[in-house]
Amino acid sequence: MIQMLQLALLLAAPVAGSDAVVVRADHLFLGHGEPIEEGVLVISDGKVVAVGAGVKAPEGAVVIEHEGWVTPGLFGAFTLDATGNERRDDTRPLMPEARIVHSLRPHTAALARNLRAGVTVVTINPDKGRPCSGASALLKTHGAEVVDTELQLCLDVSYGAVRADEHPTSLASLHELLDSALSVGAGSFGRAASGELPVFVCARDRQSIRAAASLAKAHGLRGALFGSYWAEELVDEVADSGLGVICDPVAVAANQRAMRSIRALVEGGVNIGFGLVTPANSPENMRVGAAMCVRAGLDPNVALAAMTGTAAEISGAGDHAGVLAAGRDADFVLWSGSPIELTSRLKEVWVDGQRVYGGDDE
Amino acid sequence: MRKLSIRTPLLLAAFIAGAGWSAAATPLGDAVVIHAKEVIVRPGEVLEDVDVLVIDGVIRRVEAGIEVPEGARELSGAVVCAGMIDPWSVLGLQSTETTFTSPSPATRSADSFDPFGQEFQKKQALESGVTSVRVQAARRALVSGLSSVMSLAPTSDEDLVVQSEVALGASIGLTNPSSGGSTFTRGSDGSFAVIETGPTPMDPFERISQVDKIASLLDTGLSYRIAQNEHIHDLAEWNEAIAEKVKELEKDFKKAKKDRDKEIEEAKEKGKEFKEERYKEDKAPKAPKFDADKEIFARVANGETPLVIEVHRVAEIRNLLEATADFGRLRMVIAGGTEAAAFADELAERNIPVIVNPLTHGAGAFDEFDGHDPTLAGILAEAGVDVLIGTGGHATGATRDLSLMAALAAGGGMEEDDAFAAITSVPARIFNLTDRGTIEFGKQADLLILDGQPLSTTTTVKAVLVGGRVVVEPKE
Amino acid sequence: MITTLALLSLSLPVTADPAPGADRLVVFAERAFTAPGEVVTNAVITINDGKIVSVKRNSSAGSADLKAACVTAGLVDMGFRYSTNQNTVEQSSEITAAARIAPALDLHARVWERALRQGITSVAVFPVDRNVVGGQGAVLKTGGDPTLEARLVREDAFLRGAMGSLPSSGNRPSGSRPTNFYSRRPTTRMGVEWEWRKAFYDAWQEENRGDADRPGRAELLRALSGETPVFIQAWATQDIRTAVFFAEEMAAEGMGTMRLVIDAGAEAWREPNLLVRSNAAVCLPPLPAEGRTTENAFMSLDTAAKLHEAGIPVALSAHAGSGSGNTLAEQAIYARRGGLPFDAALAAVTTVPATLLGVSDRVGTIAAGQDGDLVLWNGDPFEFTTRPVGVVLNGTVLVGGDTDR
Repeated sequence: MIQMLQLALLLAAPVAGSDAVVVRADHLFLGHGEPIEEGVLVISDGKVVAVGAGVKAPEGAVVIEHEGWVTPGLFGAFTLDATGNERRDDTRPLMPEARIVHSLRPHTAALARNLRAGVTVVTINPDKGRPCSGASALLKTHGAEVVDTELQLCLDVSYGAVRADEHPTSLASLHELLDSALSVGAGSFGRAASGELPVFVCARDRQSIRAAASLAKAHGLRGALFGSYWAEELVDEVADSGLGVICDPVAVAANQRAMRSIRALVEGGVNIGFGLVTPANSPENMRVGAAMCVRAGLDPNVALAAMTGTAAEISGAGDHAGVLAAGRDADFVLWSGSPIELTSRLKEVWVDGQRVYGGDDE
Repeated sequence: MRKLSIRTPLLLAAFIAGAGWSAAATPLGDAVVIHAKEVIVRPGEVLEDVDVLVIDGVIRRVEAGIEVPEGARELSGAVVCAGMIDPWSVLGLQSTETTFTSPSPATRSADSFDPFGQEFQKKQALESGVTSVRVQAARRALVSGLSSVMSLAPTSDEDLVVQSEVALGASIGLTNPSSGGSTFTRGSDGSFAVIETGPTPMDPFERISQVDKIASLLDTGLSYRIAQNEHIHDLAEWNEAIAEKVKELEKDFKKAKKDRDKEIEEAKEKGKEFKEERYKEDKAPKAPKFDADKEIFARVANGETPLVIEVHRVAEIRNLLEATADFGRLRMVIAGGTEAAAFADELAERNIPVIVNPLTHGAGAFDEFDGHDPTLAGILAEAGVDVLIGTGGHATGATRDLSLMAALAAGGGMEEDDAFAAITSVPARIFNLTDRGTIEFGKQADLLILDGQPLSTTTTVKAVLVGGRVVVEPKE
Repeated sequence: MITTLALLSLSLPVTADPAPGADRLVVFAERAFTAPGEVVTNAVITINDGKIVSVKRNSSAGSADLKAACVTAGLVDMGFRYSTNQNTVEQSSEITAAARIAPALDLHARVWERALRQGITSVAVFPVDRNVVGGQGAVLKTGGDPTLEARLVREDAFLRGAMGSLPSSGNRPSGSRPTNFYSRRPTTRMGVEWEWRKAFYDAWQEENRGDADRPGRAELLRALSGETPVFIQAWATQDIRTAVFFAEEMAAEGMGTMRLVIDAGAEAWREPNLLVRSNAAVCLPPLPAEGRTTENAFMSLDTAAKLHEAGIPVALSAHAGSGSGNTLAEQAIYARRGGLPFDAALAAVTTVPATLLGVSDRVGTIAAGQDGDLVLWNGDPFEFTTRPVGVVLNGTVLVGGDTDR
């Protein structure tokens, strides 16, 4: 677990403004650990004021009783939405100072679709396919509000980043290129090497996973690998590197290996998050993938955290998203049941303490 | 044409005619008793704390406190329900079969089904609770041939095919039949993966003209059938006329014979050729030339065989409904129906079931429309349409995840009971699989023992019985 | 002769993790071909901690863990093609002497297991021959823990390159509008030779002038001086001549005496005197089905025998990994059929490649101190009716079969 379970047993009701809203749910999931039965969420001024079991409602607060589940808004790790065709600049193999946020087109239907699927915050990434394609951004899907303009340094050490007509044309020299860039440590590479800027390393095959893990270990990188499918045999290396893993989406009919690798990573002590990977994937599919992993033996609470708190943490957004705790943005979703159960329906989405979707047919 | 499996009533008849019912004393064939906390006999109907008695593969009783026959196998579980049926699957078919675009309508998918292939995927599907699948080869063709229902746990060739000609398949606007297909790609580690190459989108007018083609094929079939019936009628008339004429001729037989003999002799003398007298009735009415394809369309137009037609877009659905409105006996089933929500009432009125694949897709997915709506199944069900849920004939391994897809439909607004019915009783009813789909006296014992509700993510299938045989053993 | 094989450890999966406590292994063979020219009858080979401790003759099978009709040392394929994929070679420059692919290998790929099953325990890995000078070659074991630390036998064992048309095949004359680095020399085989010469001249001159170091120079100089052997792929006669003349020119200019090895030298049999006078060794490619190999080079059954008769060190290779489907043992069988004596055939798949790769202190023979790499055969090795029935690598049984079919 990344953060200890936060039990807010207050003796007195929390201090809150006059716009305070209290949501009482049969099950309240905070983004990590286990869900709280009869959980209470107190919101004021767009922020969470208090959260836990047995928290008292402040005077004059609007109380919402919800027979079902409340979770943090889902975290969409890795999306290419809202950037049109300007997803990657191919000028040079290494472009660490490029920022995808400048390609953002805020009024895209895709973001609204993500929101309707319960995804309240996403990382917009430059496309993979180059050794370093730039920096990703953290974005709230409601209103396309940019939270962080430089969230992760995006690298790709896999076969897909190797070109036939430009250096590097071989995997070995690709790895050397990144190794020396990190060693020299100019600009963003320096901040990645010092641990200040988390990395997002695409690794689509075994050699690359190994290379990414050894780069991370050698340079003290933190952040996440992107690509779980080939990781099954390399769990120890990945665990040793300190990186988390953003998992490949698991779709219906997926090979058993897809689910097995994810489970092996978890059992090896690696933190995982489910990748959203839109628009190639549909946002609703994240829950389907989570359900398939649970069916294949993954702990449901780990799966829930992989859609919320853990995903945010390993993406370097742990301070901004994925978790319900005092002081955090009040971004949460009301479900009719556990999101892991596909029979559950999304009822309402709240962002910054306001209901922005659903609830009309109550 | 293979005969419908009618083992069950025969067995029952033999049984009843036999020694008579005696529960305890003599063991009556292979017996299994399942003690269950909950038995879902029919979607929405649950019996609690009852036992299920199966003898010789047939469900005999479902009630509390059944006396266990001697030698019977005893199992127990939290939940027991009927084995699931995937009504839209390609499990067991090679990719070449699925992408083939010009089959003859009289071909059967059962003949494409590889009894030895895809062992692992069939096993996975069975272990997840799917016991029968309706497979359709050549999904992308305008007319695909006859789909077949296959058992995923056959004992022999005999029961591999549950029904070989269960429905005729067709598709509208799916893809330009002359493009697309599947190919394989080699991953960096040397492994192979089969991928479907994208279709080129069809011209909207081409798509609509496909509807007209289907309608005209049905017309052809109907005409063929009418011609056959007329022939039968003509034949009968002709036989009558012959009979009459014979009677007539028999009256003056002697005289007529003498006259004829005289004529023969005269002709011989004169050296002329003798010509037999010709009657109008000599020529028998010709039967219409047998055409296997027309025969199929005739059966479909006449309602003897259902038509499962894959169609997605509003324009084509509307045209299809209009074009088929006059075929009063046609039993049509829509597969896919991505944008069919707009026609929910009409579909309900005309008793047209819809097989839904509730998955949503990202951009650039195999099927080029992004109108996929997770609420489709719920909207249709609410309007009174018979909704089936199937894996959509894309990937052979998808059958394993059928119950998750039903759960997804429920999450999109369908009642959970309807969603469960969509993968059990409704497919059985629509495709005339009278011996399965629910847990009832006389039905084949295709049963699942689960540790929770069938649509729940956390439920595990503990054991599977097909025809009363335990084909997936309970794990400890 | 034993025609049945009894193994106590049956049905082991390939490349299984070594069982705990399995530090000691005793192997009995009716005949152990411990080195070319040596046969030990009723041999008991004891392996401890991955190394061969002793080889006793005229012993009884007694308490042996494994018993076989015949045993040889693990085979060595110096022409192993790990991958035909061009992502193993850095083509942004034609001369990449310092490129090393060992860190970028996928040690879980099936290609290792396939080689292991044939009895090949050590292989050379190097970049695909698309560059003039591709980089450094390394020697790896084909089984064991899938980590580089466990499998690497020797790094930087040789400098790898090619003559002929293959390195120039992707280039275009730079007259047309250059859109990428393929608009460059060389576009013909003479350009390829030019690149070789330039690379070595430049390195030598820079060194003499005391210029600042640059990547690759040290590697070229080591090759030039003979410290590291140079493996040059040259299929056809003209390319073999070019390679030999090039090496001789370097020597004549006083720049250094290279240790030349011609890889895939299918037509080396045409002018063996050239190879003899330059002390070059040859590694042959797999016997082609219809007489002609790549570059239309002609190779026949007796090619190996001819080279051997001329006194040229000959190694055989199955180019395992490239999907050729040929096994290394089969190459030895064909060579024998063409007249190569048994001992020379055994040497061609064990001691000769081990020596050329500089790892003969570890692999190639069955002797005390060598790595515990053995192949167990169900009959005389290098006969069509014989196949490997067990493979021991670093003292662990990685392929354990049952009795012969």
